[in-house]
Amino acid sequence: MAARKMGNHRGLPLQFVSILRLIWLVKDLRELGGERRFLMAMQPRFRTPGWVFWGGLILLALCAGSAGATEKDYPNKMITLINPYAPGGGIDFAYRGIVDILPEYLGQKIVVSHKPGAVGSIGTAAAAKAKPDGYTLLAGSTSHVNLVPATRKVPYTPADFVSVGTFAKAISVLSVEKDAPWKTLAEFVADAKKNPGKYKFSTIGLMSAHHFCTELFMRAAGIQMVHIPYNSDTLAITATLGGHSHVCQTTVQPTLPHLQSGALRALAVSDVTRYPYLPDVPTFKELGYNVEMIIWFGMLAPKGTPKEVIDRLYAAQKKAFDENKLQPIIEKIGMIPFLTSPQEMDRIVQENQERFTRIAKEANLEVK
Amino acid sequence: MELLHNLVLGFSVLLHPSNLFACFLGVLIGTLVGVLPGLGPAAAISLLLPTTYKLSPLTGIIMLAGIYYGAMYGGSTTSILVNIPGESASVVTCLDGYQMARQGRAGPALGIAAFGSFIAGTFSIVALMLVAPPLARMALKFGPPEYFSLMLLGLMILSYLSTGSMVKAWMMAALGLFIGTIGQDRMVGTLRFTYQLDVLADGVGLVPVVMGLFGITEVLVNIEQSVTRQIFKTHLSHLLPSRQDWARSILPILRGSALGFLLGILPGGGAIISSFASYAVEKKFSRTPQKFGTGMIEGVAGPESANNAATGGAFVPLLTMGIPSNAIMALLLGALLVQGVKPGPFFVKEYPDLFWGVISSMYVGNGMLLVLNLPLIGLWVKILKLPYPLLFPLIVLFCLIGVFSLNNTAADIYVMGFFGFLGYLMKKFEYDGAPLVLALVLSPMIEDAFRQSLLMADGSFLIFFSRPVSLVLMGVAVLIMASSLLPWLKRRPAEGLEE
Repeated sequence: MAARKMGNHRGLPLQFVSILRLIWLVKDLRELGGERRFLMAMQPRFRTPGWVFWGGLILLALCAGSAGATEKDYPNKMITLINPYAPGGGIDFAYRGIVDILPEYLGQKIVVSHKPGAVGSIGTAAAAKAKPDGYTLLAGSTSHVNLVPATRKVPYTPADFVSVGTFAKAISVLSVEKDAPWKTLAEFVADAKKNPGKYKFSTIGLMSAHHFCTELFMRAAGIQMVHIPYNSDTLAITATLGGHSHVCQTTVQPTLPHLQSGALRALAVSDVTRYPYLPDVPTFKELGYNVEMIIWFGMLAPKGTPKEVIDRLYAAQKKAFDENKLQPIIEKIGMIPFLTSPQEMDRIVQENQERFTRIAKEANLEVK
Repeated sequence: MELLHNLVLGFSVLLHPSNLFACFLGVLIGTLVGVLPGLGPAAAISLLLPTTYKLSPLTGIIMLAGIYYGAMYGGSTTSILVNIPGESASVVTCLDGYQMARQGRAGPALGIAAFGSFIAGTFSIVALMLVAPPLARMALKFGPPEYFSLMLLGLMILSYLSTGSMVKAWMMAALGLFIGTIGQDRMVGTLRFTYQLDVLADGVGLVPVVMGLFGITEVLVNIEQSVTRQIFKTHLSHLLPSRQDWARSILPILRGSALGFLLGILPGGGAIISSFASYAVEKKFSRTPQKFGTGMIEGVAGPESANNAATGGAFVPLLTMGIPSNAIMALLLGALLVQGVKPGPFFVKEYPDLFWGVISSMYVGNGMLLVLNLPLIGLWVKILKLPYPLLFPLIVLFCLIGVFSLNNTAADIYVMGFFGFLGYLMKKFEYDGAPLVLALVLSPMIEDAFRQSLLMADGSFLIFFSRPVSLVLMGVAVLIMASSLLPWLKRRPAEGLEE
């Protein structure tokens, strides 16, 4: 039962030895039966000529093609929605309604394909380069479509996409701890003006939409605060609850439970109209600061996608809204249903891009 | 007593067939997910999230929670059998558990891991019931300076992780700290060490590194040796832990449970750190610390209990304040929100049946897991009887599938391959992989906490010493470092004399 030395094979790449041995081993085990002889059975019985192996492998690889798509009667097969983040992130939740309900109106399934990496830019770049036939769409939102190109060098810009139309928006809220001495934003601004650099604000992260919103606000109000970036909304909220930072600027939905329980106090929201669940909280615009920021959610298609395809997608979305199918899910997650036409969404994306690029340059927020 | 009344309420809600079935399904899926290397509970939970929308909130949460703590049970299986951590939290189990398997003691190792996990899980549920709200409020007081001091303390644990030279362990830790800096800086946004490669902008992932360093390395080392000797002893001793094993393990299990629960409460803390910490604690309390790394059962009992207790601890911030302490809790939070349930500081008051129902389900789930895992030990152990030339291609296959399933990108496979070869070299030159992994896990946290603290303090380093909790943690860290350096310092004069 001496073990044979591995490597005594001619004519066959070494790394495939073990696979072939596996096959021979199983064959021999069946013939001989019993554990005692298996080591003897590890001798090769024949050699497969190299060209047979490689030829077979190449044939196999060639078979892995895929059928093409036709543009008539869109959609006539499954639609892939690229999500440029890992599963379980905010985009997953936001697009829950689209993925579950829109297929009823389109007649085809929508399948989410995760392509995470590089702060969302890998998936977005892949979507920009996809075939513009309407079968590959991007789950778009402010962060990877507007903010990343405004602050980093990436192989795409929002101009590489055509919008389908938004379906939801989320807004940002500026809050302080309940024991903080400021009851209104005006009080806070007055205090901060006297103490530049004293107050710290926490946000979900560097170069997030919330960070940009605060930068806009600081410029509009003429105050200076120190930014402490955290890695998630909840960590930023916890920091304020625990007194480790004075102010937090976060998405409204994770902050809502704490606002409603009184642990935090909201001073302003970033939309143009008041947030329905926080009717007493004024907007920045009402208070006289020209600050407006929404986090929009809408699908995008690669540039060059036919207009009929975009219209079909938008029509499906609009019908779902008319029949009030999408709104309940969106509201449950804490976002605001927000339907816009493709042209309107293009305008929003464009405006955001200009605004963020300007702020990035002014506040020196570019990634070198 | 009010507690008993609440428990009765919880069990009465739980004992519907649909809830019980959801519990069973959750722990079953969790075990499978834990055993499969690479696929983690986060991915499984997010995939199954849509199915919970059709169920009642309680049923959905029971199932998802079951997946989470079930994965901690399953993760130890592959760590012990083939040195591949099924879960990042099971890395430490590889150190001694795999050695036990090589000595033919895979059965006791798996058994003590299962029992320890059960005891720890039960302990953490009891603790959750009793001390959750005050502990959660204390957890809020943990700010960046406290986190930094705690993570620094965690780094000091490194000195207990290595079996060989301390200098080499620190070198590996430095390498791990460095690898953790690759990617986009979270404070300023600069891209560091990415060489313009997009795939590195998010950093080097923990899972490919761990699978390469532990799984692939082990395969490479064993292939080299398999011609001369058997990898696993074919004569297996008893399948279950003996009385002696139990006697040695009971204290580590208790210590691990307490440690794991406390560390699990901290947002951002978690199962990985608690398992490393438990290993260090066991080594410190042992009478034969030098034998750690050769198959000491305490090195399996402690960490496995710690990571299960940490899952219980992780529920504390979510259920008492609505704050998720890690990514998986955030998923659960989202699942609750979609159902219309708003977790927050008044969660217990507003949804008592949900809260107590989940707690009761955790008891039942832990019991189910024990019943599921024990008979399977015999099955798992049979796998070790496969001749190694048959086994290792399967191992490699599972590693490849697991790593690719993370991000659907080939880059992760290259990383795993690179660290596999690196680990092989490390083994040849007697460098340990565990300090590298711990440093890699801690690196982003230490750096972020450090810079956030300095931002808070306007640049003053005093902040680490002016806050009481941080001061205490720093003090302990310094003590640990001093105590591990002391033998080395004592030795030097003697060597000098000899020369």
